[in-house]
Amino acid sequence: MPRWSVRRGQVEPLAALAAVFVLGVALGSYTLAYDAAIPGAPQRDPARPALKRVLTVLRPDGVVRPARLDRARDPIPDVFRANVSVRVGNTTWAVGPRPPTDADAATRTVPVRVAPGTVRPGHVEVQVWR
Amino acid sequence: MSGDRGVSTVLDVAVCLLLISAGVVALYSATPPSGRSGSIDATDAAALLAASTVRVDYRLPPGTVGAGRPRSRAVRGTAASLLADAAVVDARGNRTPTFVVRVQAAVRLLLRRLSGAVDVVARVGTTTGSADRITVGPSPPPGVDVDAATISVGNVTILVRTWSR
Repeated sequence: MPRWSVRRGQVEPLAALAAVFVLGVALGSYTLAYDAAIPGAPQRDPARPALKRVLTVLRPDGVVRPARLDRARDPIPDVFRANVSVRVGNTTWAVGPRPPTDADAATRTVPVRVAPGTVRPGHVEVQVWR
Repeated sequence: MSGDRGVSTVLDVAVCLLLISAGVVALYSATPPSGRSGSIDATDAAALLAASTVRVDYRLPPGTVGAGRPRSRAVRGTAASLLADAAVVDARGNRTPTFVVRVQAAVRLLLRRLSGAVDVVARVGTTTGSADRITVGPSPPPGVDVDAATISVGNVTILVRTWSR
């Protein structure tokens, strides 16, 4: 009895092709899932670090001053376009062009000086896009 | 024999798909949550209490002011400093309950502007009893992730706790 065969190791071509195709799709899906599940690299979430930098300009002593908005966009890299706004109640101060709907945004609640000796809770929002 | 090989190939691919699916499930289940969304940080809430100014109008109880002098008073300051004053007044047992109540109401109004749930406890000294403290907001329910920060104003410690609703 021969211990080998000329057909040894062979598979039906259709089954082999289907298997390669299915595995390719599966690995591709895994790559997409990995990409979506792992927290993004900094360049994909630019608003959060931009907000941190903007706050260093807006609140040198812990209280945001809307008058400093003119310089708020200085620490944001030039590759991005940005809109920075400060909102207290119904009053909003903003600087920068109108952001597109898909702009990356980050918001933080901070104390805002609305008048000398008057500080109210407000929101600083930074929207960045390319 | 090639039929056996075909069946084996299908099995191999099925097992491989199973492993990849398990990998995807593990990937999503192991991904850490991206913070307590919808809730303000306790540090931010404490900073707001320490810096935000509020005005409190209150009336002194009868018999504590001289004849002809107004009983209505108004005081203005940061929420944290007024909370500390209210805690001291409350701990001394002074007869100015409206002041304490009005300060609590003003701070409650301030906290209402923040997202998520916030609880504030102002305690005089290092006492641990419930008598020498005033609170604003509900205590966090058991089983939730709570973020906490403290502010010291004189001998009053203000504990700020935040959590997601």
